[in-house]
Amino acid sequence: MQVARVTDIPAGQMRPFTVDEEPIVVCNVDGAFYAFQDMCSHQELPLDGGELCGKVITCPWHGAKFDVETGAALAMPAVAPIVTYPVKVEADQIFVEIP
Amino acid sequence: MTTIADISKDNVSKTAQTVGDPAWLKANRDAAWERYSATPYPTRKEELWKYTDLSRINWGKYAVGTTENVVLSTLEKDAAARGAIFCTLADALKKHPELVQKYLGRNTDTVNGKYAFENLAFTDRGFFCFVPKGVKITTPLHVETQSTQDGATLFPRTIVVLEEGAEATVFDQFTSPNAKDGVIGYTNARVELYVGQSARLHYLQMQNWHNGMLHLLEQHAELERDAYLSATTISLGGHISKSTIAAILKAPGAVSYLFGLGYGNDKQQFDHHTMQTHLAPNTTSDLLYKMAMNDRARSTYTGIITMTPDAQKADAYQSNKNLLLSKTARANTVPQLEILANDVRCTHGASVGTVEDEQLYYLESRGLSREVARDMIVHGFFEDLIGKLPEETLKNAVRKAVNDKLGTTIELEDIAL
Amino acid sequence: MSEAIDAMNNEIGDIGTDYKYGFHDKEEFVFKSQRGLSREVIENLSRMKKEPQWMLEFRLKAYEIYMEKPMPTWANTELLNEIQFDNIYYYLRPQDSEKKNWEDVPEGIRKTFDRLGIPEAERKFLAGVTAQYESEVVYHSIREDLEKLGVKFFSMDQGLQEYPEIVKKYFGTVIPPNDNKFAALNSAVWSGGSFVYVPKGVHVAIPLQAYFRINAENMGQFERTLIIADEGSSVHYIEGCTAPTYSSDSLHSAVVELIALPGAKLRYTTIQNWSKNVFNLVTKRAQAYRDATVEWVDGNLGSKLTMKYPAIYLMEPGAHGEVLSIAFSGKDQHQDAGSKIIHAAPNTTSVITSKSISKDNGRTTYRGLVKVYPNAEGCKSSVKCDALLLNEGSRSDTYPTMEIDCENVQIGHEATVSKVGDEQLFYLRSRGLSEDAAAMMIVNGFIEPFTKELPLEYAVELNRLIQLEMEGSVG
Repeated sequence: MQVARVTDIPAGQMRPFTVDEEPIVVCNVDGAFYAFQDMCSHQELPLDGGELCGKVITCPWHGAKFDVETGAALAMPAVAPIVTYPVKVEADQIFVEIP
Repeated sequence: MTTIADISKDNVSKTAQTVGDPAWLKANRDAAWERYSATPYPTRKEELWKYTDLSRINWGKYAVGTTENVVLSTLEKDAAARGAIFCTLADALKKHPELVQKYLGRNTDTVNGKYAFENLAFTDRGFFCFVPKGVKITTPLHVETQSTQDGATLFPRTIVVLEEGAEATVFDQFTSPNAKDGVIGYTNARVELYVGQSARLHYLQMQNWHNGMLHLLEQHAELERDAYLSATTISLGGHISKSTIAAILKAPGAVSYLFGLGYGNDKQQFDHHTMQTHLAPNTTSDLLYKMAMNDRARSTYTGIITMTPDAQKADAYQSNKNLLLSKTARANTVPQLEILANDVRCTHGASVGTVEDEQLYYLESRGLSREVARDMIVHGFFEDLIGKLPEETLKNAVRKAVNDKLGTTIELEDIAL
Repeated sequence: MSEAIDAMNNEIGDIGTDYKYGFHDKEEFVFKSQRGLSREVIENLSRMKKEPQWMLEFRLKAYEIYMEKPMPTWANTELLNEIQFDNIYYYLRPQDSEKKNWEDVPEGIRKTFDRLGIPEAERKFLAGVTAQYESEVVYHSIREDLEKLGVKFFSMDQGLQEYPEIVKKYFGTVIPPNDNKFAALNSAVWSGGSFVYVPKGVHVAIPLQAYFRINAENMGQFERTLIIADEGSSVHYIEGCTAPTYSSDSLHSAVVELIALPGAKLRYTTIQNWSKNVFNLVTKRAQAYRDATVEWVDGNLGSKLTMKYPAIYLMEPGAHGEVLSIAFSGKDQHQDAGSKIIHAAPNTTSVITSKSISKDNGRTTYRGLVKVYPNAEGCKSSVKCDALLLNEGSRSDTYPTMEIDCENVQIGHEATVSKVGDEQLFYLRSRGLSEDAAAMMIVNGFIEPFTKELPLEYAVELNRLIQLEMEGSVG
């Protein structure tokens, strides 16, 4: 599913999208794009207002941290991973595969 | 084509015309429309919407102005002769406008906010059941509200009124006979039950919609002195199904039973919220909700017992039991108590468990396949609840609907205990 | 009979009027910040404590979060909104440095702790004590044998000075400042509290204790405790809290982080008996790793409003968590308490037992969570909440939440709310007890599961406290 153009998301930034009624976030980490469900594993609140620092996103609600590539939980109060999606970049288009 | 996304005041007028509104109802609709327009959709930040997120729903998928069947059974002649009424809402508005006016929207209590205003503004079908003082209807009344069209939108309203000493059993069913795979729809229903002094009402609400339905329902029951209500909610269909069920015990001696049953598979989401509100002394309420979830299905149960300071010597019980049938099935349960009177008895319980391996081994050792064994256990899990229904026909209707949903080869005779 | 119960309720009295710790001493301090919180207050405090730069940065970041976070919109918002944050003293330094001998503690403060029975308790049955007065720990000691085994028991401030690596590794990892507004506030202005490290395999057989005392009016106490029980070790930590009765309110907002590493056993006991003008808004959370056990034993008797939900994160297989709590609410009190258990790994188990008593129009709330994450198979959890309402105007609310995302589990919750039954009273009276004695016996029986888990001396003290509340109703 094509969600955005490469130029839409500058390095170090992220943007929320709704794909198939599913909330997702696509972020740009130094030119590499990652996509994950816009839902913290702690209380299922949206992550898109959080802070992105390298590959680590910090949830704006309670401070949980996740690796945007693997989804792994890195800091309390999160103990479970977030859902991540495969991303493909073709020409200047970003494609996200949502099962 | 107008959809929920671009619905306007014109649609209020059109609905009023189709239904054949008396002036008072049109005025009610207009008022509801104003509130609907002014009210934002609830968000997950609100306690009751924490587990059901409709913020990403594309309302443009649902076309307004759907006409589909509402099928009613026949009222006993004797009861009709004594003044009982059982007909579609549109018919009732034509024949008994004053009586309907007395009850339709009499209670405006809602926890569903915008959705409740939406229903009132666009109520387009439903039925009216009125049982006068002392009249007892023995045969269950059956209403089948159907939806099979793709993109259909339904705003049903059920009104059941039992006057003093009246008795009735009402089976209110939402169903999609022979719906094609992949169809979607949206239902936003409102149910109002008025149980008069010493009246007895058995009300069974079953939705076995197709799995593309987004189903919202808000049910409100008021019980007068010594009234008896048994209200059962069966949730089987839809991809999201959220029901709010309230019983308000307004006068001493009122007794309310709330029962709920849900079976989910695939990615279905069920959300049941119940309220047992004791406003008077010596009132009794009991509740049992049983949910079995398979595949990636999720059940949420939240329920609250409220004992106001006037509810001395009241007695309340609340129990939610969940059976998880797959690794990815989920259950949330939040049974709550708010007790402001001290001389009461109040107990609640909740549990989440799984099918015990021993149970499966036992049934397999009796020659059943694992799937059938599991389905038998699901039937067994529900059976005590089904057993509380008043009529054999109703019990069998529920058993059959559950069995159809399970899709097994089990014969109905094998599960009726 | 109901008249007798009313009489009993009157006799049970209210904690406020009979509060025996309500005395206050002359304020003695070497530094007192201005009222209200600002960057300057934090920078000043950090400088006086000679903290490393990273801690100052941690504080200032937390301060930003605190300013951004809204007040809770749940629980008793009416009471919460009474807190006048600008009227509070956020840092009050009662003496120059921590003492190891009671004789060195300034006389006024020492006398206070004498009246609270702390030095005596230390001599009799404790392995170590820290005593915190206002913002700072004024006294701490630990038995020499434990010190030799490598047990570290310091004030949090001293812990930071002496073991900066351990502190930096764990501090704020269990409860990040963003967790909630009050955790952020504590992270910004924390002072005092305990730092405990128990080395691998060491068993601390008798309890360590901290005693927290607020003396000044409009004081904010923000102690910070971090306890690490290393692999296979065990420790029991007890805290007690009291404050004077003033006409205007004080704020106590602690953060307590517990880490039980594989095979460790950690028990944390609180007897909270703040005076009725203290807002007690604390965040307490533990992590239990493989086969470790964490137990919170939590008694809430005092304060105006308590919001406290001790949590246990069961991080690895075999971990076990237990929370046992009582809440006692009298006139003008609201105990909003509960527990949270997070099953994040397979084969973890938990038990929550909560008892609450509301009397004299008091209000108790149980608010809890049991969460089972996907893949945490074989988890078992059982929750039991009982509430006793002693008069007509009392109120009890129960809000348990269970979020179960995994199949092969056994999760149960039960709660009851009742009053002291006429039948029970009648029966006990027929056995020759006065009505008041009978009622007290019922209350004692009701909370017995809690008292029997306390060290004997504390159980005696708690029984005495409750008896005090019921004084005059006996005999």
